[in-house]
Amino acid sequence: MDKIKISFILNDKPVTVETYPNKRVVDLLREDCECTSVKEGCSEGECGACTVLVNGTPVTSCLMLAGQIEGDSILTLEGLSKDGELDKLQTSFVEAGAVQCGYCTPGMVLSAKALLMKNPHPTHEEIRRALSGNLCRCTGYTKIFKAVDMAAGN
Amino acid sequence: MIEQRGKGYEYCRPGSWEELAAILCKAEAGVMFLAGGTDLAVDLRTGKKSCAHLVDLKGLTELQGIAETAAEEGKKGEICIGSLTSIHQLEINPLLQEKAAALPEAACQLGSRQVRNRATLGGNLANASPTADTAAPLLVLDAFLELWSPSGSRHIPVEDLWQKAGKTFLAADEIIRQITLPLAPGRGTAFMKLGPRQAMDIAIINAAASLELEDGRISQVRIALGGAGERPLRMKQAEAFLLGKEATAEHFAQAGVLAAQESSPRSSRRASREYRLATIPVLTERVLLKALSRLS
Ligand code: FES
Ligand code: FES
Repeated sequence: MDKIKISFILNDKPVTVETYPNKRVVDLLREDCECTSVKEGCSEGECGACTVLVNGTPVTSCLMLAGQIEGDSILTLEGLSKDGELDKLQTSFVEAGAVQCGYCTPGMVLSAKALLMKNPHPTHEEIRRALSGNLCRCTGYTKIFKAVDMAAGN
Repeated sequence: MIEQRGKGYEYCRPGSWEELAAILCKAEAGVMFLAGGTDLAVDLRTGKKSCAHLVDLKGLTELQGIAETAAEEGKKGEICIGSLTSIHQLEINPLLQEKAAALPEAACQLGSRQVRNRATLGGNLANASPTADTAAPLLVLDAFLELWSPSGSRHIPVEDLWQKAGKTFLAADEIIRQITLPLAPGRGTAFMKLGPRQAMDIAIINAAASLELEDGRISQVRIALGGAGERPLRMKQAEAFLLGKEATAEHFAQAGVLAAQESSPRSSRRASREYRLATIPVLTERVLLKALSRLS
């Protein structure tokens, strides 16, 4: 199998990676781009731990092959903080105590970020829907919803 | 890293029909088409499926989009959907919500939000799962498909797409290009699904129905079930029974019993044959009632 060259925007910076076409985006980001915030849970699109934003839309990177992101703009948790300053949403997660083991957190934050980018003042129900594809084994979700409510100024 | 068990393949993303045709003419065998990849990416990794050439269709941008052609003299209006339109686009489309409600209703119950952003209508159909959530709605909407291959294009009713679980009648070099829904004003359509969980699960059974009434009697009816056989099926005996009758809960319940009789579900990890047979009448009755409630 021949390697292919893939160019895309990662956290606002253009990158080009040479890789095998059957590499999944989750592996590409973790192994070739040092974005280890992207977590692998179920490997089949059920848990949302591997969520990243592609052109602003949340997708599960375990279901995507490297070639599919050619030309796209990818946002991972690494791209949220600016100059070492946490994004408001991240601060809310800390303040609300919405993190236990932390494995689901990057995916949760990114799904919430996608929602807030489109809809800065979502209702509680809209928040629940937006996070419905992200599973958390620890928190029972209450504090996660609270964190997003906080960031949305609810 | 999780080991990449899937065998290697050449990957390409043609940007035009000419390029696609050239690739297909050169590749002898082992071609597989990649749409959203939400099913295929897993199957390629686990080795459940393998191919020599993976042809990503995403470069054919004209495969995305939903458009209406208005009715003209002697010709019904229709909605055309490009096969690479995402499930999420179906879910939020006002045109479909208004004129073909069963489809967006099914779309919003397919997988997780992240999956719906990637998964496509054409991919869901070509994957040929007997419980594909978009299949039953398309069956009751009388959808037809435009297929394309280097040797030309052809049209088939959506019913003629599936052979059995995981297998279509598509030729090895053929893809679904467009899905067309003929419009029928005055029709009520609905979709329902029964799964182990409320959200994000593959259906045990799903059902769609479409109804039209004339002078209080049923003048047109379609019922389709997923999970009731080796492929998504129309329930033609139940339909024939209802035609010309009054739209009552009692008749719908009887139609449900007929639907179970013409079904031959399998036992699978998700549910036994007996369980499916027991739920088919209930779901059929409910989906008919829901379609009725959509008639203004
Ligand atoms: S690892 Fe991708 S959804 Fe679970
Ligand atoms: S904090 Fe542990 S999985 Fe969510």
